[in-house]
Amino acid sequence: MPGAQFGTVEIIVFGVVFAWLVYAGYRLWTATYSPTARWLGMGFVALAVLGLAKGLLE
Amino acid sequence: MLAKLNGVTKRYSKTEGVHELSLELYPGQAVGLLGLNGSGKTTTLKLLAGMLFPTTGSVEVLGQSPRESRGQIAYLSDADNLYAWMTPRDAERLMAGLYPDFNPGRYRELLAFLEVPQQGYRSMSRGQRARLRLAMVLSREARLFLLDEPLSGIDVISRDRILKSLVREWREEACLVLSTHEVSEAEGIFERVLLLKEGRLALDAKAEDLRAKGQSVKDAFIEVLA
Amino acid sequence: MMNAFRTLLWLELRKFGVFGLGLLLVVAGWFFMARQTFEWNGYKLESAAMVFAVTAFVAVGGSIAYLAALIMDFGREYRAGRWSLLLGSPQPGWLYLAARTLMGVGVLTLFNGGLWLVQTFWLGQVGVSLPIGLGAGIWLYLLGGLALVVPALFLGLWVAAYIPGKATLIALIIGVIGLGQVLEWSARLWGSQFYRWLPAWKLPAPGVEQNPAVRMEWENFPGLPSEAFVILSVLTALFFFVASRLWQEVEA
Repeated sequence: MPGAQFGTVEIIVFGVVFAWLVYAGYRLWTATYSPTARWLGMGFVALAVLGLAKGLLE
Repeated sequence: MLAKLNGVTKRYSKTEGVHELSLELYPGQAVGLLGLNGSGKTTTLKLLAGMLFPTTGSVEVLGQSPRESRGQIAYLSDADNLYAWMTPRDAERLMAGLYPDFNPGRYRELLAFLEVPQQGYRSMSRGQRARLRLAMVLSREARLFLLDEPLSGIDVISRDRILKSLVREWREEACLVLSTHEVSEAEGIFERVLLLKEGRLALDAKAEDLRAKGQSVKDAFIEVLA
Repeated sequence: MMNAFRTLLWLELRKFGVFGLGLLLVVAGWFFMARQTFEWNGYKLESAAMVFAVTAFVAVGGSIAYLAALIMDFGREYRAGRWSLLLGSPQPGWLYLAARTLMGVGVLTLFNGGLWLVQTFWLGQVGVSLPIGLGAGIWLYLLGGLALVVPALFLGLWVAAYIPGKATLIALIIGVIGLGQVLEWSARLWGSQFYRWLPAWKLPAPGVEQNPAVRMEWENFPGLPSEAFVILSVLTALFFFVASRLWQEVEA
């Protein structure tokens, strides 16, 4: 949303959550032998990021 | 040829199970797979059974991937893996339902030969459990038998008797791969021995060739490990 | 194939039969407890409300406990080395999942259906009559967790796929978030589309088709929202398919 203002606390909290999601994505990609699980993991993380971004902008 | 490993490497998250392993297996063979704990015996058997997928390289059983020919593969895990409530009769029901090549007549013969009591798995001793699981697997009419430490927990005298009768009467059309860390047990029993060391095939020899060299399996084992 | 399916169903029955029986005993126990509630508080509307609330609570709690057991079973079988027994068999993955699904749906239907009957019976005593058809359907499907059996099985397998890599907690968290997100986005993105394709079922939401403003508020429908039902059915089929693939790729 143009002109949206974020406070320091929000930036830190969302930063930590995004960082954790990136880490989770990395683990979900590397920690299985199943290709389906791997791609599904990416999809789930992407959806979570999207959902979070949407919540952030609303 | 019945089965083949082509330069197979299996990496786990931090360790390597086997490294660049190549070998061929033929029908009618009874093969002893030897090695210390952690040398890659279980990984090799699981790769052949299609329970693990190779990181690199390829596995073939009867010209297909192991998962495609798993109806022809009888695998016995070293895990104590039956349901606690199962009796030999329940086990028969499970096998007959899931494996089309299960032979109930042979199963009952094996139960008698292996002296498996008709009681729940929970109340069996370790040796009795191993005997039941062995009877279940050997009752299949498969082409490739992969037995991972099938005799552990069974007393020494019975082990010898079971192993000898198993290998002596081995089926023409099938191949048996039996892993053990009891090297002395393999003496004079298997026609071919494979020796794994740190995930690599350190020795692949016919027992008669070893004998011709005046070497026992144990000698060869110690020589390789040295 | 039929023989294998019967065997797998028998296996599920042996594994979860005791749990299922326990749930049915809960239903029987609640029948008498509900009666006591009316005896103590009198046959009035407050007692009926109380019985309704407790029944709903027991239904949700029992269903969740059973679903959790279904989820955790994959991990337990993995740790017991039992997958080598099952994966080695030449049966396709979907057959295993179908047996587990049927068992799960069967137990939950008996449990929640039983609770519904208990509640209907005692509420009938104070003159509150609940319609059996649609109400019981929603009860079973949503409160009873029937819609969750396949997603629960999927979640169990998905987490189990991460046991060798020791990332099960991350897989569980992301799996739950992911399932929620998939549900939310499918409702959001396809929601308006579904309405155009759906036949005009005469469900208790009269006038909805004529009023575009109500379309997006499908959650608030007082009946069986046909759209949610369609979405959940599609997602169930999808997750059943994905879980079957996972089963084929899992390593023992």
